[in-house]
Amino acid sequence: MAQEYDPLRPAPVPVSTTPTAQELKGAIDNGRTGDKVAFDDPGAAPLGTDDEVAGTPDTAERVALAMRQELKSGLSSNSGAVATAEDSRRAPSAARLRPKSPNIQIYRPQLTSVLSILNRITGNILSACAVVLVIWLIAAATGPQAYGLVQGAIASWVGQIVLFGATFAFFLHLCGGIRHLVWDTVQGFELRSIYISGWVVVAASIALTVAAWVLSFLMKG
Amino acid sequence: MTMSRDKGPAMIIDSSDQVPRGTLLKRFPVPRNFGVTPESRIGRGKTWPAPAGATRVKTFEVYRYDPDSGENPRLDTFEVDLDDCGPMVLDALFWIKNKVDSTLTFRRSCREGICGSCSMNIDGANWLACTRFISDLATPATIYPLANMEIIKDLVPDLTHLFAQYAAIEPWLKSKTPEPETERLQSPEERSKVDGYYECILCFCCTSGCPSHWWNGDRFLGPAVLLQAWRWLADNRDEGTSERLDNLEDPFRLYRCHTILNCTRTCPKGLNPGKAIAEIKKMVIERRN
Repeated sequence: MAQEYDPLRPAPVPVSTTPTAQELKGAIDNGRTGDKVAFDDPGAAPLGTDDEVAGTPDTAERVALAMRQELKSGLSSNSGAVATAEDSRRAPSAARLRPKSPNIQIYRPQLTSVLSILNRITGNILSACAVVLVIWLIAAATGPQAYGLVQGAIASWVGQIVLFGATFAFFLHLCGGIRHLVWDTVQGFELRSIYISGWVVVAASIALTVAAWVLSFLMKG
Repeated sequence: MTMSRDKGPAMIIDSSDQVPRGTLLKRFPVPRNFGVTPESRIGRGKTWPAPAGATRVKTFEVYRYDPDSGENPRLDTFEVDLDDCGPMVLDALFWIKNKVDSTLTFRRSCREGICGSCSMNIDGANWLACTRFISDLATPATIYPLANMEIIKDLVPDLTHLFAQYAAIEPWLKSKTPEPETERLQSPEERSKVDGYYECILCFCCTSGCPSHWWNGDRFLGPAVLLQAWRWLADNRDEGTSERLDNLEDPFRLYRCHTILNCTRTCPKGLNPGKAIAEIKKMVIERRN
């Protein structure tokens, strides 16, 4: 492949002294006349068709005149440069940028997007928990005083709530991860399956969290 | 695709035409103008009351933007007389344009859900205005343009970038072997491989509903384009499979997809972009073996 074709930045072509109507259309299409965003416009009828059909095709002089006039009002300062992405965010005649429509500010949270972002959030929580785990292990290795300090912090009611949350995050991320592994085999993509598996992940995470804590309390006794 | 019109909140969604309902939150808990550029901030707009004598009235909040006024976008409130108006959201938009504010601008064509022109964000989810029943909407109903798009005017987004991404996957038949004398024959089984992918109407509801495309839309191709990429990979008549996979196998173009699946939930034609993308990823891996 000689040059990668980028629809937003077509390679500029030098203007000939005897341009055809097709060349004029090309100059308009790739943005050199400053009329539009550089993108190939298929156009139902090529420029000049109507004149040909009428029996009065444009003479070469008229096309050359049109090309000169169009390019004069276009980007004549950068010869051959096409419109940039920034330019495309402006309407041809306006100076101000176009606004962007709201996305997360108005889009409805659905099971699909909520479980996905929760998977990412719980993943980050678990990364933080890994750090806490290392602190706990270092305290255990250091000695009874340091260990007692860390254990006391975890045993406090704040620590227990955080630990409960971390357990829930762990199981949610685990079940969500299994759901992702199943998707990697291209299974379970029908909308019904997506929703059933989603609710199963939520229910299983809650159940496993409660089971883990009940088990730990039973073992303590 | 069954037209299920259950009124209660649905836990299990069977098909995408089931209206999103019963979610705990109508929007993510972020401020209204969270992280928007100054020119995109939405201000308070005008209220247009219902005509006198109207009994069945529905309130619509519609995003407005006038590029000639020099002002920021705003949210106008329209009270629509339902007895004077057809059943679909597109009918309500036409009622507003004809009877209340003729400057309301929106794309439309077929009014039957096949052209893909009237795609917009209705009550927080992307759908076609012509196939969404007014009776399925909340009160007040909110109508925004497709999410995360540059807005030309009112509900009309600039789709140039999305179509450029579509052109970039080269959506045509690639052949190396010489052209056959007759048609390129295909068995019914082979033809069925493109079922569920050729029906895409390029409305871009899925792409503008994909959070990954919101954050990386300049380089991530998005579900609509990737669905079409799979359409050409799945077609056995196409001989450019390895070229296409080489082009797609990129951390941004393909692998920004994290299987969020908003796309499959919101497709107004009931297609499955999430599945198509998973098939592409599988083909990329299988090719290595």
